Amino acid sequence: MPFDPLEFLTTAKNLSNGNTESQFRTSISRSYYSVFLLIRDKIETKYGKFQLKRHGEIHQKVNDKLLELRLFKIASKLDGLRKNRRDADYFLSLTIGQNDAENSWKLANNIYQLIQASL
Amino acid sequence: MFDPYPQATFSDTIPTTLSNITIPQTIVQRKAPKIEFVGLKISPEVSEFLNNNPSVTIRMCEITDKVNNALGLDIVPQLEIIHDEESDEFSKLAFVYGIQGKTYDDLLKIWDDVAEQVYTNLDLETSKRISIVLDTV
Repeated sequence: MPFDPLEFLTTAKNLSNGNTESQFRTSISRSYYSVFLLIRDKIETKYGKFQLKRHGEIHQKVNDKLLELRLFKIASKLDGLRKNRRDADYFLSLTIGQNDAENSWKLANNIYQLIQASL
Repeated sequence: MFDPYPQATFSDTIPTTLSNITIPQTIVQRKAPKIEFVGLKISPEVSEFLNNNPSVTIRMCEITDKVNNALGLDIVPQLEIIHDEESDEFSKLAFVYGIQGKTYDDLLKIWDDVAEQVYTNLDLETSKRISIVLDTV
């Protein structure tokens, strides 16, 4: 049975209740991937596989497709969550706190609700 | 102190409200690398992005007007270039709004209105080059 990316959302919530920056950063990353993977799979099921020149393009391709489908709320919020995830995964000079992790989880959870309603 | 990026102020050539006004791209491109758009401070990196993406440049004020209308506030966003760490070919301009006096739950509701107002009448190519980010301060 395929892995359900929503399990990442549960993991993200648990990590956001932790007490280390490592946990907060990982929480943000899992929040992003929970909804990103869900959206990617839903789009590919409905519209076919994304054609990629490079694997890293998938994040932008998914966001572009949401804009083409005029799912603006999801596109904009996923884009914001992607920025949080980029900060958490790559920018070590930034201080990432529990509030950042909690807000990213809230954002991911909100995106999930929007997906359920419109995708 | 020496400023390697002398400022150019557009307020003498461009009206304060730019909605529905097409700015000749040559004006934008010929000015100094650090641009000030009536209170918007723009870094050299953002300036370079704007020079390379004139469709974003000419709609910047329209975008910020729409966000502020949706917010019911008058906030100057911080402009950041977001590079995709997994795909170095891509970058976009983020309008980052730090909002006081609201909870993050409030912002999530407001964000829906902001997204609809900004993107509904924006051409697709420009939409793909921008990002709107709301956060609490």
